[in-house]
Amino acid sequence: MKKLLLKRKKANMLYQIILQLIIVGLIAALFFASALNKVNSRGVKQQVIEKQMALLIDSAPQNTIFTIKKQHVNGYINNMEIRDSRIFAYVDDQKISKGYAYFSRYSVELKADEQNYYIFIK
Amino acid sequence: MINKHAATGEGILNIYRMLIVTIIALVILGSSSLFYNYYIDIRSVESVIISKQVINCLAPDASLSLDFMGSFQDAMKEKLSKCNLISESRYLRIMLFFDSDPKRELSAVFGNTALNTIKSSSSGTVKSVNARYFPGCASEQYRIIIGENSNKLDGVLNVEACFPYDN
Repeated sequence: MKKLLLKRKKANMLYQIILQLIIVGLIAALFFASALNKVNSRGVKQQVIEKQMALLIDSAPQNTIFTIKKQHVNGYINNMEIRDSRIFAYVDDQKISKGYAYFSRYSVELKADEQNYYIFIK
Repeated sequence: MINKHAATGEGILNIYRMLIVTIIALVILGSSSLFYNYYIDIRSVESVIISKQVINCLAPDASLSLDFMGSFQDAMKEKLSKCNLISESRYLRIMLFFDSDPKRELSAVFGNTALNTIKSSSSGTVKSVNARYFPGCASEQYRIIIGENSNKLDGVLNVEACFPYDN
């Protein structure tokens, strides 16, 4: 009987330790994922690209075309969008972007092929 | 026999440990995001760009005609609307000064005037840490000829633009 109780107690302790390890592991994983996102400065790279593009669009005269390489100096731009007078760039597999507003007087369009993005100021 | 009090105590201790781990993780994350985040402020550049667009719209050949009916504000509004330069999200102030009469001055204001109020009230007190939340402004001056044909006057067109905070 004593042995059985001792076994149960050990099992209970082991169960608690495993549970604790899983939770600590999850917290650590979440922490490292968030910290990595900050440390590799993808957010700053994204900001640089979006603001560079916004300034180019703002100052461009009519009938201008910009070519932006997908393999940009600030990382690989896996997607770029233009909507609601804002430009969005997603660098190195980023999924979120708040975008940046531009104020061009002209209509702005974006097209892409395998290697480049093209911004048309019409 | 299991001591229920001891088991409860151990459970509370576990929660306490978890909380400590979470708080430490959050503190490290918070401080890392504080050090690694960087805000690139381009609003003063945008203000200069829009000022140049305003001058190109109002006086493309460096001369501004003043043959309008009604107020200076309405005339400027009409011209700037044609160029699609008026927006409620930013502040724009156009001032016209005459060389011949320094006291004479025409002024027109468009957009979000609160931006200029915030800028004026915060001047000199803005710390670099929170400067991003204050409007980014620029003021540009251009020498122009005011009027047409025989009635030409020299003057200065001052364009002041402010942009609000945008991530």
